[in-house]
Amino acid sequence: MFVSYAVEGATDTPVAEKLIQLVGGTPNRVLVAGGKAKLDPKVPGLNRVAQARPWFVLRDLDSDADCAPNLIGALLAPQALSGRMCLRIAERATESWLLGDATGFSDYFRVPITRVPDSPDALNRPKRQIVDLCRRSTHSSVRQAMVPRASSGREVGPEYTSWLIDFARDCWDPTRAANRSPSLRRAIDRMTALVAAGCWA
Amino acid sequence: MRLTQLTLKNWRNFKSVDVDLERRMFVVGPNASGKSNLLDAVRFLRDIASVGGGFQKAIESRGGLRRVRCLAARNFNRGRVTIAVAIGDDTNPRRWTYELTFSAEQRGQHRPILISETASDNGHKVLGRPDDEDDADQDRLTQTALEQVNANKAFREVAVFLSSVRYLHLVPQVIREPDRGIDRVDDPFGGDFLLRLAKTPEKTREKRLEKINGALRVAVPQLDKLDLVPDEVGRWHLEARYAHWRVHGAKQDERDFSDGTLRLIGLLWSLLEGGRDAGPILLEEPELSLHASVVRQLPSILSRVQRSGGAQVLLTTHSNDILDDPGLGIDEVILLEPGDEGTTASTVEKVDNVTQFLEAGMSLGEILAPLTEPGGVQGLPMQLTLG
Repeated sequence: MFVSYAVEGATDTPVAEKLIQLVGGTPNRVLVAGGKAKLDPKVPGLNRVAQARPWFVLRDLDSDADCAPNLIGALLAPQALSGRMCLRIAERATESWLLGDATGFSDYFRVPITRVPDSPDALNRPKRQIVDLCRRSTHSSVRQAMVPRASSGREVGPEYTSWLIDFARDCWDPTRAANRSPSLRRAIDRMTALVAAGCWA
Repeated sequence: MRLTQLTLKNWRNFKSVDVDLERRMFVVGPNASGKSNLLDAVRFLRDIASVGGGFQKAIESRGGLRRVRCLAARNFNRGRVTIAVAIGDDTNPRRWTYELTFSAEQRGQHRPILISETASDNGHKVLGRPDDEDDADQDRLTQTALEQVNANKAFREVAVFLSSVRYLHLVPQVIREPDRGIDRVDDPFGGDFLLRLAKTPEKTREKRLEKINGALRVAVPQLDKLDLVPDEVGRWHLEARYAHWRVHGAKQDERDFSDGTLRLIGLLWSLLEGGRDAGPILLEEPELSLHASVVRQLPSILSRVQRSGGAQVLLTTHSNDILDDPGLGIDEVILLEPGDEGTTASTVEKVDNVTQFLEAGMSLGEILAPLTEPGGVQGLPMQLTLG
């Protein structure tokens, strides 16, 4: 079962792939949009294609809507969700889903597990939370890679993207993460249901 | 140690530049804004400090003083050219300073002569020219102290550091040339690249090639087992196994490698070369011939190599794939803007509203696009017709 997917950015790619694999699918990367502004206009078109084939589209909620269903409605309007389309909105962002795996995160980034937030979906700026956690890492290489220099003017450190991708690919366990992230739990449940209903086959 | 500050007056197309330098620096600007000229100021100091180099030769190889002096100079800095650097690290960014001001002789042969040359060690002046001896013998002003071992003793570290600067603009066709490396030394275009590999002690070379192999496995998955081997006439070749339908694949060498593969190998080798305490590397558009997805990794690659002691890198680029990296600091990008009075250069932190734009979710590439694109570029196709 091939599942095509479209995501916002490079760090979302391993997340989408692991989720598709989790429900028994083979991920088929189609679009890494380079930002939600570039992904959003394509959603209606992808939704049409998803009448015939399994599709997974992942987008961050950020502060763009009160809740995920409202955002989905706005993205698709005036269409309705296609039968083989799984359009998921990560609350607040994919980083929340990654933080959900506290054990994996703490092992990989060498931060105390007690510091990893219990409810990552509730964080307003999960990216900032990841950087702040890495500030406390016992490993200097994590701090240098993930935390920005004061004068850099940036929210993240010089190797943030490559480390986060490496973590997501090699260490992150979506099942474990879903225990702390209800938004991720709902996404996995929905994907499982699509498989069970034969929509993803 | 790294270059922590670069100051220029009347150098080529820059009337006045003063920028702080981090470990990674990305120089951006429109075509012909002088990106290479900015790097050339550092090369110029390298050429002076290098064995077999010197001040006169450095000027001559650039086509004379007329070519290096800014057209907009007029009376600014009294028409003289000044290049100054600070060298140090994060804890002591001005450990060393070196400043050279030069012009042409007023009379006689109009030779390039230095007007002043100063150096300081932790703020203490260790060189101040012209001195009494210079006043007594004007010919002395045709040579810098930087290029003379018996005159640069008090700031030898600066001379050694500057002479270790490497400039790289690898051209795959030059690497592949059969007569490469015969008389070329330190060739920025890669003419002696394979020879440099061959001269590296075997164990070090194998270790580096193994690391490069690891990176290549990701970027060019069909290539494996990169090695340097001599042919029957003793010429060196980069060889790799190329996986295809045959079980064991086929051997290929640099003559078969793609431009992108060769440039990537050259780039990675240069970053690993020198190891700790290596002098700064100047790179021209490292994105050439590489796939955008590979280019996007360059900022991370530089950071990673530098964390383990790798050299400072100053590079020119036109690539938004580089500039869109979310970890790229606003103090790591130098923007060149041409104007009537020459080109100005400043780090992006000085661009109006840059932090607000970043907070609004824009990338540095997006923010800088209007400042680096030529105005009216969309009309370019309409300018071209045959006949």
